[in-house]
Amino acid sequence: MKYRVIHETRYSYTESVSLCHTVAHLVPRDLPRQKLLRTHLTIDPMPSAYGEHLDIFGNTVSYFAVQLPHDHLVVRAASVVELNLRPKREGHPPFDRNASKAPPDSLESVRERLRDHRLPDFLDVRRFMLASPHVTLSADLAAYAAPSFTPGRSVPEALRDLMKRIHRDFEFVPGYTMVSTPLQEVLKHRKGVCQDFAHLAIGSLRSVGLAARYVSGYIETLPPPGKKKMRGADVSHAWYAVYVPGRGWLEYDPTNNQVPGCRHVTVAYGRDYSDVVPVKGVIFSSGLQQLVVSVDMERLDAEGKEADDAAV
Amino acid sequence: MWKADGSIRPHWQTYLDALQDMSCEEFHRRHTEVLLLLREDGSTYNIHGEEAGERWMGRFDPIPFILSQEDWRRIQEALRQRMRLLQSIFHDLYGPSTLLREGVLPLEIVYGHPGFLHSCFRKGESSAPPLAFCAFDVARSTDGRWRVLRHLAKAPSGLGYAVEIRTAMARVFPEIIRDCKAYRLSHFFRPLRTGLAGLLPDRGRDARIVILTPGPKAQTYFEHAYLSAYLGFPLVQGDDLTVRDAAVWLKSIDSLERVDVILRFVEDIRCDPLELLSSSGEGIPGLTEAVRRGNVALANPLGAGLLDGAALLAYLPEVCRHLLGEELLLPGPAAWWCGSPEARAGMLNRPECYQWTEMAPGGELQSVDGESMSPEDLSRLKGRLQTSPERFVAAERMAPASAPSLESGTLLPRPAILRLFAAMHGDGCLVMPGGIARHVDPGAAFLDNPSPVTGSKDLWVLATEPQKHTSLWLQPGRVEESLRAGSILTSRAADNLFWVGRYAERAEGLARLLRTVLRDDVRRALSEDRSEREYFHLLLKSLTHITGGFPGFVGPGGHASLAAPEEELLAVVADPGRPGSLAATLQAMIRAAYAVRERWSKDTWRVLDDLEVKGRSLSHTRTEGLRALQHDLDQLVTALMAFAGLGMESMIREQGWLLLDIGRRIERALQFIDLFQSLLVQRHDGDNVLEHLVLEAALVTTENIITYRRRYRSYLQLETVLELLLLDGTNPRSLGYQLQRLQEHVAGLPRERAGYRLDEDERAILEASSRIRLAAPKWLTEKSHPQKYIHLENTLKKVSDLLTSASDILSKTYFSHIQTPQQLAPAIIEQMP
Repeated sequence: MKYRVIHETRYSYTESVSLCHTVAHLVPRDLPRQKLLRTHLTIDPMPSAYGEHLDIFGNTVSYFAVQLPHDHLVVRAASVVELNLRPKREGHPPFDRNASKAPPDSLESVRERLRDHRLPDFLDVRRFMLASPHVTLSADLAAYAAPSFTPGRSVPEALRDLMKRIHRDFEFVPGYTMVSTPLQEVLKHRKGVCQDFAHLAIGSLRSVGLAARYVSGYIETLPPPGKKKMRGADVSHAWYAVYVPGRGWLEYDPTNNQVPGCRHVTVAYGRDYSDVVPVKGVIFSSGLQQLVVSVDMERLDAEGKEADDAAV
Repeated sequence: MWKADGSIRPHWQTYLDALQDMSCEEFHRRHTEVLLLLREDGSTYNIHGEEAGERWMGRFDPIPFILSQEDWRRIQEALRQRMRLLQSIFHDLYGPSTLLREGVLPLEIVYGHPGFLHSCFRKGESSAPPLAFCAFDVARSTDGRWRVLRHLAKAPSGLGYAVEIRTAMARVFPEIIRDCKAYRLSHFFRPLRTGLAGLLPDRGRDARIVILTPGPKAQTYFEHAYLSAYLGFPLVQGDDLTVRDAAVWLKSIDSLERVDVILRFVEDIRCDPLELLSSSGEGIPGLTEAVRRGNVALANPLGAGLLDGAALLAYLPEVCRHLLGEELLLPGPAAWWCGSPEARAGMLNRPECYQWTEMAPGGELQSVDGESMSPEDLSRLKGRLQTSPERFVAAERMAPASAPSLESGTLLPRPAILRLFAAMHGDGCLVMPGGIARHVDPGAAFLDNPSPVTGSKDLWVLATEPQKHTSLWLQPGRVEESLRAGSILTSRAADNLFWVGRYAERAEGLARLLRTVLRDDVRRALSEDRSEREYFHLLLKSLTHITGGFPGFVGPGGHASLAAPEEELLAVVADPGRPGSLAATLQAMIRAAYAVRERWSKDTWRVLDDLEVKGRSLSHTRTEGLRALQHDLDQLVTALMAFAGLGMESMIREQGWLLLDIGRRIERALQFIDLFQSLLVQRHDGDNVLEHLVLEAALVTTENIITYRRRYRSYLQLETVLELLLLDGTNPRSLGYQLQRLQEHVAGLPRERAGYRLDEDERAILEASSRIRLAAPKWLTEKSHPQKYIHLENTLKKVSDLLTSASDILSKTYFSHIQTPQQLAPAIIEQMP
């Protein structure tokens, strides 16, 4: 499945801004299940300095600065990606049955293998087991995850169950939380948005000793039957992935209670939201700002691709 | 000093012989002199009234700590190894990460440490920038072995204090230092400077180096200012710098100057609100990117704070073997990170046997000695060791050996820890042959942080050869560049200098007016004589106008205050909490002066220090002491005049001086206007006594009485008084004179001139000056209004408005802190299920 995604972030300022420094995570990743075909970042006004680098997680980071007085900033990222539902698994050697007495996918066995130095991608897994700026670890969070990990149940099964429970237990309430709302609050009030649900899942999984990472991306929304899809109706989205030795990173979207497949495009992943903020910046101004974000995610079929590609 | 058998260690011999030759009185005299020098430097001064320097240094001890050549060689070698080691660790952890991949270091103490900055990680080819300099705590343990206790890569403190102490010691004990052949510290600073400049090679010109300080509120601000003056690097705060085109620039009042190297005393995470701690609001947005592109070098590089983690100490010997293939020289006390289950098991049984360091989420380390903990604390510790062991580091308890310390006239053995400094220089490493020795409480354990320092002293490293003088001056051929660097005036410095000028002038004017008030018995307020009473009331009211201390003698309740003025007078003099009071004005002046500490000569700082002491003693004045205040005010005026004189006589007439003097002139003009408005505008027809008293007060307060008498003999009348006070451009104590100087000064400020048009501030001052020059005394004193000289009043009012607006325009143009950085609003990611 091929998609074109246009993610536009528009800031308007009441007073002139003399200088603005910005860091963006807007370039989708190349992954086994996702191929980045092309991507283009348009910035208005034209920045005086622009640069890209890879962060510690391998995401592409764009830095730019607008150095002349301006009253708006528009960052438009347009990308075409191809999703592949049956990726080849790489770098995950088959499980060695003699290594552990516990059943291969049991929690004990997974935890034990996570501690093993011979684990492939050792660092890139283990770093997602620690607390991070938005994700604390606690006994409460472990207790929330516990009912999913019943004895005898395999970890992938337990993970599906946890996703289902979060979907059932938590109410989607936009505006109830802020980026800085602590996890304990989310757990207590059981309300939030997709980013809170992802953080909550990550926190409880790390609290039981698993490796979990935050995934930032987009999801395609389908119009009600018979209606035409509206422009800008799609949104930025967030979910999480858990590492299971021998299987790799398994993804879960608790907001929609589904395993991300052909409707989820991944932009970046990190320990939590703070590592992969789509657009963040510092401006020099004494005025106020207004933010409008729109995302358009469009399927490109084999025939229509030429014309649509040209639009990117 | 003594060996176990009671004999004296040979390296102490020369020093002790020299002391023997000195009488007790002489030693005492010299001790006092050192203390005075340190005081005058202002190292113990702090704007919050706390003695920050004292907290860092403790009591100063004149007996040096003497290190023998052999000991020094051993320590030097160990510190060089540590520098290499720290360098390799830093490179590894922010790049290839073999220490983690191969399990030499647990992941938790690196990625779980708040000092690890994810955005400073180098993926791919480019490697992390080099570490530039570090401080080390070194001590001899009671078993006689030297130990390196810890290193400080994050904003290492003490270097400035070390230089300051040595400078004072060398002035007071020159012959002893020479006879002992103690190494000079300047051997270290020349290479330090070239080493720093070399951090960013191939500039094609001399590197511009600045010192970045958190500002006057920081505990160690003094030494940042001291180092800035000593090394000749401009002292800056975060908002003095800006990132443009992914490079760092210093904002001076007329241009942007490229910065190559930043000697940094600001904590890592507070350096860039864009990519590091966003909530801090401090720092330089975009700095991380400038570093990433190699356009600026930081000493130390961002992320170096990771190296200071206590848990790393537990793994140093192994890491040293792994990275350098060497055994760690002079290892510190054994330490264990409790996150590792093997280590934890042993600790849990006997927590009282260890020294505990806890890593708080903010990154601060708090250390406690297990032995000094109560049973409840111990059981709480055990509990926390079970729940979050990864936050604890246990270290072997070990006490530092003693060195002689002078306490109440006798030498006593006191445990001592040495603070030493090392810097990278090219591929090599240089250790400063000296430093500070700090005494700690007996029984204090090694890793205490903050160390309960009881005293500090100079550290002498004995050379075998007599020491020659090394100059810190640069080679000829580089003169132009360094001249340029020294004359850069940041807008922050400009702002502070302007306000030093204004506050100094305000304090002086106020002191003079108070003198005039207190010249008379304050009972005059109750005098039977109407004229006298009226005069005194006018004087008191002018005090309220000038200090802006309403209601004071003017507003509601003014009558009561006029009848019993003592209390209100006292507040105007002594209450530092009262805005506009003399005490508060002096405090504000010192604060502004302290913020540009590096710009004052030693003599000037001595006067400022004296003013600070005088200001503080003012606040102890009681009502019954008001009369005696005359004398204090005289002295205060003298000190303020000395400060003004130093400004006139020993400051170069560059932009800094210009702003200082603009501040002065604007303030003096505004004060004169306030004074004239309260004393001279009102008409006192038919009351000659009152009129004369008032005119005389105006002349005395503006220090014009002698000139007036000489010029006009004994004819006292408003017209001639105005001629002298307002119009006479040759009289430095006239309003006209201030305006003329201002006109010249503002013309000298850097500006982008569009044709022949004057800028707003110039126009305002030109208009003010012209209005005064065109005002004829006859016209000013026309009696066209029943109660007041209306032309005089209007003219003064207009000039005052013009000056105020000129002052505002100057602030906006040259002190550009108007636009504050703010974060872009984050997009909440909210997808509807």
